[in-house]
Amino acid sequence: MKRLALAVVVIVCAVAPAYLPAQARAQFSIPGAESVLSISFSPQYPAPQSTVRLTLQSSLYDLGSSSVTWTVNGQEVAQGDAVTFIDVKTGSLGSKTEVQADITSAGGTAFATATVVPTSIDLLWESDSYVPPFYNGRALPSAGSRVHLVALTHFVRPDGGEIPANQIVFTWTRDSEVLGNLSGRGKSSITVDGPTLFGTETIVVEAASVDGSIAGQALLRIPDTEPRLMLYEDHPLFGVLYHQALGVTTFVPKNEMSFIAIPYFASAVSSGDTGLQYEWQVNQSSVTTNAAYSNEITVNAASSTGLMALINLSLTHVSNYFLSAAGSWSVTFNKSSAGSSGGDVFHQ
Amino acid sequence: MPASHHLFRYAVAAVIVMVLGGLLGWYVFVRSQVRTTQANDSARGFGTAASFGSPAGSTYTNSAGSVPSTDIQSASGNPAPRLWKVTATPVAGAGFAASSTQLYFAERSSGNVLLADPSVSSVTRLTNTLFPKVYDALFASDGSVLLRSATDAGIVTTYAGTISTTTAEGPVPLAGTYLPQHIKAVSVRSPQQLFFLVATPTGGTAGVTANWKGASQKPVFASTLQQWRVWWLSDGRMYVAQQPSDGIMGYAFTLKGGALQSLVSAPGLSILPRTGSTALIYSSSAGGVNLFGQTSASTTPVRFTVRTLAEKCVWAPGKDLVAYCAVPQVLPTRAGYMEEWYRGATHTSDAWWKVDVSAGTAQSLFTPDSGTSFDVERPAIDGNGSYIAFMNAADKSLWMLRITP
Repeated sequence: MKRLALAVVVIVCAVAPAYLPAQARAQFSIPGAESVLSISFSPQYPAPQSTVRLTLQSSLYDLGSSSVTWTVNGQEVAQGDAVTFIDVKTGSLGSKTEVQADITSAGGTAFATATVVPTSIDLLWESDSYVPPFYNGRALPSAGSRVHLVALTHFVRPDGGEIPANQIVFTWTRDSEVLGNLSGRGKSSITVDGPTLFGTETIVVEAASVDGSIAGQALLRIPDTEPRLMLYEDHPLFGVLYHQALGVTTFVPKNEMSFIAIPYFASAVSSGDTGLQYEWQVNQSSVTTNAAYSNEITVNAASSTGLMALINLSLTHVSNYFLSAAGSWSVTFNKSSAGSSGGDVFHQ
Repeated sequence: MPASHHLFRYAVAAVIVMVLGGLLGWYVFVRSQVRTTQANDSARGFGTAASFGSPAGSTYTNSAGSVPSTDIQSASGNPAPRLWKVTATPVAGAGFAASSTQLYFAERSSGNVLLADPSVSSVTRLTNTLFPKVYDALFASDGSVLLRSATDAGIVTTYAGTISTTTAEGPVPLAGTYLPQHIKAVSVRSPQQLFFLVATPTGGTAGVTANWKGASQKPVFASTLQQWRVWWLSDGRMYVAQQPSDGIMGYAFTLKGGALQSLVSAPGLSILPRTGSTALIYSSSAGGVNLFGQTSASTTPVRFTVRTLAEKCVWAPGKDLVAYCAVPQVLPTRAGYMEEWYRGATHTSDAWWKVDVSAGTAQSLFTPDSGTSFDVERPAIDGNGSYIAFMNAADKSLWMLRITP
């Protein structure tokens, strides 16, 4: 009985971007047989030094009753009935892993091959929301801010050459919508609107070498962050004491202090951005501030009957109606020891 | 004697008494006013000794003398105690002198540079040029300093100064020049070499190396992002890493020939590269902080039992892959601890641990007594590995710890 030998090409749309095109050998083929045996990858774009699951699929053969032999780089790694998948450890960037699956079934024999070339993409991002000078952390996006993204591809051909970004086609997608005007050859960085209020932005970038032989994908979810209002002392000698944020209740060993509000992650270019509207209240009474320094107030308890100031602050924006933040601080002054340091050098 | 005569004498006596009484009253009034005026003047600083009357100046002396601590002793000429609170006055940064345990530091309020010597517990003011409100200071090993401040509009300024030859007469002016504005990150490579990132008008940053005057610039890096940290180690290797955020993936890279080579990535990533090797300490903050170490770029990282941020660690000099890390004595369990720490909203009380990266072990080095607390930031170590200098993030005071008991 003449054995039927079929060689098929793996499903190109599913796996070809992540590895070199599968090789096919066929003694003869029948129309449409190209897609009857395929190998799919999970994850679709294997990373270096990772485990990828290769699964054999066919619409023609009953793989459940077929004998399958898997060969990786010339070494048989698995053999048996209905062995429809194997796990393969990828190599480093630029490495090549050759995989072949041979099946024997009542309908004949066939094989499929694939080559795994791992890739990686670092998807970096930051927001243009406000953080004060010398802040050590990342600016997070709030409603109305923008997000800058950079895709750093690590595509290394098996011959050792790294493919530069200008030889790679980037396709950016935001919430399933392809950003056509931001995508294209060499377009490795983009700027998009940040997430909406309480929303999460899903950014996907697919990158492929110009010849389509190597590809990868990266996905990112960026949640909305609420601006955080922090209150600090603006000291005449030391400047803003960014290292001593005022707690909900604070005691200060003097009877006068200047406070500055810092709107972390607000959509603004500075804490004194003209678009920001600060509304101060001290002990339930509204306080008018200097328009040029609307995020600052000075409270003097020297002539006050009480020593506690309940400071309420709300922040809005003249045009960004999604920007809203508020804070409340109870500050107790030390009326009797004005000017006394009490060992605290910031209050001498 | 006529009655008119008597009347005249009484009148004269009365006038004399009134005049004397008036003069006495005037004397008492004037004296009182003088006292009030003198008290006000004294309160405002008039009539007090000049700032530079002592080697360190009055700001340092007043502050250092007002902080009680059993571990602390004021400048006495004797060797400093193992844990020495160099100054309670807020500082902007510190750095060891080359081949010495002497420590340069800059006052936050004045930008003056001082020199602390733990061998004699002395602090000497070296410069007297005023730079108010210095938020950040970086030193080269010869005492050259970058003084970084910000304008009211939030524009970052950077002054690169060098200390001219000091004289016995006291402090000298700090000579130097302003570097470009909007420097987002900077690293100092002794002697007097800089690697800094400048924000570009179109967004993003341009990274250059330059000399201390900001001249001889050579581009080495460009990015459409701005929030980077940079390192230029003494062996010439360069690193860049994204500024971290709790739970958000961060990436660090080796910068070679203008290209970025992946180093490590992790949520809330903070790194500490080591000069002379590819060993690395890094931390990840995502719901909790973990500290990792690896002996080379190709080895598998080891997670240490101690949990702290990499920026609270400093590599020890020498061949052994040893680092010293300040570890919170009470582990912060709140999510977002790192960002709260950056915002000054939370502080920890730390103890020092010795971390052996090769062995993957950590052992306690120094735990302060119950009356002493410090939240370590920006640790530095001298070239011989004898002293660690660090700032207390809670109040920006400056401390030194002798490593050997």
